[in-house]
Amino acid sequence: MEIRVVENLLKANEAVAMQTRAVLDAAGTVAVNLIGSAGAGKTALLEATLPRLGVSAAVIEGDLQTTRDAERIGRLGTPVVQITTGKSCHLPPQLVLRALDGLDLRSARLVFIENVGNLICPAEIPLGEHFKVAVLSTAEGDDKVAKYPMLFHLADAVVINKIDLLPHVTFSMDRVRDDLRQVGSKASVFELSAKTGAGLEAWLDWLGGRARPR
Amino acid sequence: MHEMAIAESIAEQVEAAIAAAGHPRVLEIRVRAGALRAIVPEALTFCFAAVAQGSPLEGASLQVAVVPVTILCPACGVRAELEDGAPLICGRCGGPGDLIAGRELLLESIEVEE
Repeated sequence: MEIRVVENLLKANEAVAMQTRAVLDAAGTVAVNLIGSAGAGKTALLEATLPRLGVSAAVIEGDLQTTRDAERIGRLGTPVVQITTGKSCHLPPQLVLRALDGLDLRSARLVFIENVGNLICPAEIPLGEHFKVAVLSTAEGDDKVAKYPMLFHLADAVVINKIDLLPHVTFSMDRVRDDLRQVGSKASVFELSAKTGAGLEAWLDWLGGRARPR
Repeated sequence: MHEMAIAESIAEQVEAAIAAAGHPRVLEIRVRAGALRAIVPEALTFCFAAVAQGSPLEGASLQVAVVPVTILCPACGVRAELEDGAPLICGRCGGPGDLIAGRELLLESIEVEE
């Protein structure tokens, strides 16, 4: 005998993500989910962004192990909550919802959620964020967009970090832009260097434009 | 390695469904996974076997049907199934296509003993 079910296997995750979104919306806080490989420079991007950002912000840091990233953000004076997932390759929505309790959302117009370094699972698991940002670095090579189409299809913005390394690495910006078109990306693209600060302005403007007025 | 988390969801949702039907023995579980989910069916069945071990679902077979990526062009209305899952652009006008299939991850049905 067949039992028809037809149920979304991610429904438990999606229900929690909707709760998170409701908490954020009630506070007027906009959440940005930063997704990229380990070493793409997600934390460095935050370190470059937070002191220059014209709006109040807080950070949720996700890592498999250690609180090193949270310590780096904490040194900037930005409120931060660390989630260590232990074994999970992505941030689970349940932990993000719980992490919101540790933040004063009324004094954060933007919340950055730095996901676990991975281009696959974080793209699939919704956290209740308003925007997904894919962080790619020139040192990783220019083939990542084509290899991980789901993330780049879904991303609202793509940051191409470490442009200061362009003279030293094999990386074609044209190829990346063409691949983005091929995966049906509608993302805003920002070429920048978190290290030198080059190209940050457009990224900061984009973020400022996402925050809600208070 | 996202298959393990998905295998756990399958087990949870199947157990809930069979509880409602009076706990019949489960013979087969059918799942539909969009090609963009990047699920390796062999990895998922392996993980599911591990999750099911020692549970009422032990021995149930897991069938994973991969659903091809399909796009619909919002500009010219062309609908296309993409063999390789790429590119996600309209073959006629070259504009970005809207995904209408290929992202799903569904528990479809459960075959149980009469």
